[in-house]
Amino acid sequence: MLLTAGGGGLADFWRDVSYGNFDNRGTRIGGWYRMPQTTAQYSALGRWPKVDACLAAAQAPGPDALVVPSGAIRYVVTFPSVDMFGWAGGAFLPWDVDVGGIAHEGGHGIGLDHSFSNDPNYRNADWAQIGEYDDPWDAMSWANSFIASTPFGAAPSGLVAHHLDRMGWLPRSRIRVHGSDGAAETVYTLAPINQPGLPGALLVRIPYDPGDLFRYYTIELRTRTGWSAGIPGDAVLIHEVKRGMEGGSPAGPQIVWLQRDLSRADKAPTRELNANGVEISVLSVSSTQATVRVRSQIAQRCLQGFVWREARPEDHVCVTGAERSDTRTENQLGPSRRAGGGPFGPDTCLIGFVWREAYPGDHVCVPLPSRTRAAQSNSAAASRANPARMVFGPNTCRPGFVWREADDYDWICVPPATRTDTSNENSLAASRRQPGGGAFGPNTCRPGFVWREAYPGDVVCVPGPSRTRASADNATASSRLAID
Amino acid sequence: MATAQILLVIAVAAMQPGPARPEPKPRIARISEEVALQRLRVAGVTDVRIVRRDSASVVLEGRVEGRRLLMRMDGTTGKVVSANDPARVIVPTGRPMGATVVLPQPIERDRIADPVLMREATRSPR
Repeated sequence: MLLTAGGGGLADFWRDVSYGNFDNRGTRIGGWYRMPQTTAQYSALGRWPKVDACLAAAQAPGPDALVVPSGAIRYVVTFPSVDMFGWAGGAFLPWDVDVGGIAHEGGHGIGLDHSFSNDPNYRNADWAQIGEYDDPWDAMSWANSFIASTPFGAAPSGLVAHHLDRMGWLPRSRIRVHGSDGAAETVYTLAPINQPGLPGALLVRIPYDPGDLFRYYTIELRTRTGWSAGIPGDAVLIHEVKRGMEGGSPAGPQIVWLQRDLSRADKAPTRELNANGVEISVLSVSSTQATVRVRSQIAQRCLQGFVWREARPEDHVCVTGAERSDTRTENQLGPSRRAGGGPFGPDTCLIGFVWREAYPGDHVCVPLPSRTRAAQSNSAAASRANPARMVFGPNTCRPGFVWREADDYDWICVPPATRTDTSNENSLAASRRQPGGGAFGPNTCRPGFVWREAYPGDVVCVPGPSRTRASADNATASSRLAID
Repeated sequence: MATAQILLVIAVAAMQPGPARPEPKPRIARISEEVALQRLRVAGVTDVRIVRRDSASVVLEGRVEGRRLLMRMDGTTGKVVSANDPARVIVPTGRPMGATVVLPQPIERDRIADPVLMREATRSPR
């Protein structure tokens, strides 16, 4: 169930939903180990003591002692059943767990959080927050997830697109950010997230808050096939993705919230959304694609720290708050700075003042430095506008780092020089392979080169230090992300 | 006196290191009525309706092998037994439920990233 691909179990679930990016091969199993405690004694332990006692038993000297590699994900399985929980790095499971249970707890093990809905009246259990576990399309709402039947029991129908995005399993080229091209309205064709070989976007991020670039809506399509064959119907899912608040500021990881139509008795996923300056309308849904119209003004908004200048009502050049304030004052003082006619007509300025020229025909009289500043702001306008250009999702790098982009799925953050090197290595790949292949097949490297292994299956031939660097960059990946 | 046994699985799949001692997540969810109905349909039970639910289980009625049956579904494991004969398991856990899922064919990850797939993905009104 855990390890063998092709049997319809956990390995297949992860392989399919991750598009081959999650690979169970190499997993090691130790045990069974007999615990020194009775079942009652063991059950009475707290959760971390349960884990620690298990690890101690597994690592105790003896022929079956298990060495637990640093950084490995650990699944602890007990007989009889004692408890079930997960943490970032592992999961604690009963012996008779089904695929869904281990996928959910294993999802925590790789860093995923529970999914929620926007229903303010939904509380799944007394241990749940409002809306928590109310996304049946997502394994991270298990056991409240729609299921597929497998030889090993029920499995989830999949993961929602934001969770794939968070894990870096979506190819960069299949994601769109609404407004990043400057358009206010776009009709998107979506491919089913569970049929990624079909044409269309797999995920669209729709940002709306210039003050929080990690807050946006997402749209995705799920169809009734494969692991999702049992879902009620083909559906476009709209989610809101946002972080929690700490001390009045967004903090922590992004959490995904399914947007239900709360006016319907069945609270089905909404097909229309009009909130936060965003309009989303599902136009069509089929078993192979969906079309969705999105409108928002995010492309016209300013980056955080800037506001519209409003030298006239339609002046949306982004400036500092101080410049806008000065501009308003200039507009008020403008008439008093006119000479009452002169060589430049009725708008001729008094000596010491010039036309501002913030826009063509702007004859407000200002001191020369104000005109200079307006011209500079006009030149900088593009760089200060459209926050959608800066929305890079859950794998946004901290300042000073960029994505390595060894391939379209490579979201590892590295210094810019490393990305340049990586691009060069890709360009040189063919010239560094052994002509005609060799001991390692057609991708055998020439002497002096080795496979880079930046990601599973990366057989680009590079000098040895490049492979070492790629491995080190992978190991430090999470510390270089902008958010948890 | 029974003693507990454990199995330790060390998965080497790539992961992002977390904090040194992250808090365990609480536990799994309870099955909602919406999902309970879907689970039974997948298991081949037809004409299903919810009779009632409590904190630990959902009571449903449906047609099993042509006969109407009152069933009780465990609220977290999804195991379904006859409400009047709890020893009769209608839907087990850890084993197939009705028709086994048809597994999708794995798609080459490079194929998914083909830019050709995005040619018609966006359209802006003129």
